[in-house]
Amino acid sequence: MFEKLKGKPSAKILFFVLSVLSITFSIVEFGNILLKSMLLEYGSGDLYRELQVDYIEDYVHGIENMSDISIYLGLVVGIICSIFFFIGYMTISGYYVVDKELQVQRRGLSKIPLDLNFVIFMVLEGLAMSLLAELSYVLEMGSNMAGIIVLMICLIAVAMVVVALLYVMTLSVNFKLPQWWRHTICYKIIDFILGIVRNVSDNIRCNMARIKLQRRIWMIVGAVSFAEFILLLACLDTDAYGFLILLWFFEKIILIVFVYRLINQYAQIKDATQRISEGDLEAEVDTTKMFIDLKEEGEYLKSIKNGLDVAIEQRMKSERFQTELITNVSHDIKTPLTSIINYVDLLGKEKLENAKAKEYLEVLARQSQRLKKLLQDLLDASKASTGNVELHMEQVNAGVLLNQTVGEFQEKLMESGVELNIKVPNEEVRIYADSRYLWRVFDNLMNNICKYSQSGTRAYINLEKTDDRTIITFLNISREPLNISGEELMQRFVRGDSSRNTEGSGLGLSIAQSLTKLMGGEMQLSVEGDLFKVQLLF
Amino acid sequence: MYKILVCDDERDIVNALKIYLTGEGYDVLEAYNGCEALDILNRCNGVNSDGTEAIHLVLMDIMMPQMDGIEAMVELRKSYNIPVILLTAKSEDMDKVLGLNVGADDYITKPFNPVELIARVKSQLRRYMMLGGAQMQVVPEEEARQKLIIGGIELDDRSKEVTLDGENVNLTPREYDILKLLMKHPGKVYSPQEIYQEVWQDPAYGTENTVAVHVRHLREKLEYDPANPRYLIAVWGHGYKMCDN
Repeated sequence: MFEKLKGKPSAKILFFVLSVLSITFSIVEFGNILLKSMLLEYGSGDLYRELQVDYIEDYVHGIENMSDISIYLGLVVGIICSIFFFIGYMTISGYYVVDKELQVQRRGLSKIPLDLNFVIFMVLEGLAMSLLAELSYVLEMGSNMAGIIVLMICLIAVAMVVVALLYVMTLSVNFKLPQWWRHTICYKIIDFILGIVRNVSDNIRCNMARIKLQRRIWMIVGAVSFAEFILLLACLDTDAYGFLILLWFFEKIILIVFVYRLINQYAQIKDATQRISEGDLEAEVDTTKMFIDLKEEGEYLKSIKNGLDVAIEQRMKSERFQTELITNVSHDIKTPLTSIINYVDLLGKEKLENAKAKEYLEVLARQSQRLKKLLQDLLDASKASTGNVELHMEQVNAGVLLNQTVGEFQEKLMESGVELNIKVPNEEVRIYADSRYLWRVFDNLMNNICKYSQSGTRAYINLEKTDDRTIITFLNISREPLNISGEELMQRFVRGDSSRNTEGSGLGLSIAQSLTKLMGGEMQLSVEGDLFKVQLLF
Repeated sequence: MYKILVCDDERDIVNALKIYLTGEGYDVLEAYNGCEALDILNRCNGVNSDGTEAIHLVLMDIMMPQMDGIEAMVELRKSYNIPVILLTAKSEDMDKVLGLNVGADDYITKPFNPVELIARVKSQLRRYMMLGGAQMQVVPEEEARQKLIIGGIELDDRSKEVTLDGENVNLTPREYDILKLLMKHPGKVYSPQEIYQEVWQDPAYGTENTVAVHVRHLREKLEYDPANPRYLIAVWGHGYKMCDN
């Protein structure tokens, strides 16, 4: 209702004045009613004698002559106006226009803290009341300054109304603002004390963090025990058993709460650590509410996890880079190699009379084929050693695989003059591996046997199963003397034939070993004299 | 004679291929990327052509600029069903499978053996002329039941003859029986014991070797590259199966 008047200082003053006036008027009318009833009871003569003041005489006469109705009407009007202006004043008080916006602000009297305000108000009104009491006592006693005293009484009464109105106004302004209770002295004192306490405890906590964990705990335990001891001593002489028990109870509760929180937090950290160790790198620990040391541990865990993430990311990137490099390079090498092989072949079809040219051409053909094989082997070796193969692991029947292998190589073995003996147990022997890659390993080893065995000798393949592993043994007699150890032979590009005449690339054993390892097995090589033994352990 | 379209971004390789193929009596057209290949195909085999210039086979490289072999393959297969042999240095299994899945008939890796290449070209052409594309041979139903056909291998149980892309293959009786068993249920893996039992009609006792040897021979007779068979597949550690194309 009073929306449009909010913020206008003129409106405030107007309403204030009008409130004072109407309230005063209402009080006066009320007083008149009382006066009238008194006059009816006692008669006017007594009063005159008492006061002997002219203007008062006139005033009382006037009241006597006024009709009851007009006084009552006046009172009613006064009350209505008071209410109206009072409400209006309360509503618009406190509003100011700041930067073209209507805001409630504490200004002037409203700035006084509420409790202080209250005290001041009570004091003022109290003073006023006692003054009034004094004055009316003086009046009763009779005095020649009656006129002035009466005037003073009126003024004081009006002053009381003004003060009361102003006080209520400050209340209304404060209540319009949020969290009015903060605007008291009490609150400010409490807040101040709490602030100091918080500061002190933060300080203590900081300093505690610097002291080593164990010393800290012993310090706390020592301090608490000492305090307990002092308390016990103090209570010894008195019969304050109840107090002791209460204290004990209190202490136990604190202890339990503390231990509970401690165990909880520790369990959280332990759980997160376990999950990280099992590979779940997403494990998170909420360290915000933990005790100092556990909080630190939580933070360490986080940084470990981050470190792991970074390391893994880098490793994966480098692996991806490696494989891309190898596939691209090998592809780029294969293209010119294809042309070389093709044109060497085409040359071979041309009629070359020159015998030497033919010979050279043969060398070219042979070497380019060798290059082709080498390239393929390199690709395989690198894939196998970086683990970049997709394994489809399953239970492979080792006996069947061995027999298939032997079947495949029968002709080559015959050509090399090698007689093969295989020994396979009666029951089924299964190996958990990738069948294609296991075949590759067997293929490599059999090729070696065919290429490097002494013609006319026997080679042996043994399949046996012990309690916890399966062992496949390949034995053959080498044609050339082997002057190097098994370990060296398995190195890339090392071949038993030190003259490097044969077609091998030197990668066969290395690939076989990498593949075996990838499938969870182990390949062992041993050389004794001319006896060459390879064992696959799964 | 037959026309072959050769497509590779390496001129030297295209040249070499041209020499090999013309040496066998084929007409060769050249393209150096996927777009060119498609253009030539549309010109010769397209709806507006008169059929006299039609191409019968495409030899296509995969790694090419502008449009690679696989993309061209997919486009090509929308309109033509002529045989396509993919020729490429990418030799991973995944690449082979992808190539064959998008519709190639064969896949040969570089560096290749020229003899093998010619053999494969011939095989694809024979099959195309006999079975698809050029003429449709109507096989009477009764006859069809006696014949087992998988890919280019045809086994006639009445005449006990086996042909590979139309050409006769000489098999021993055991080899024939093994082949028939595997062809009757393509895709099914037979262990060496099972094969021995079926074919020799004897329980298998430590003679699984024999089966492996025979299968090896079979493979050498039927496959262009026995080391990487298309039909007779060895499932290592389990047995053998006929691939179900």
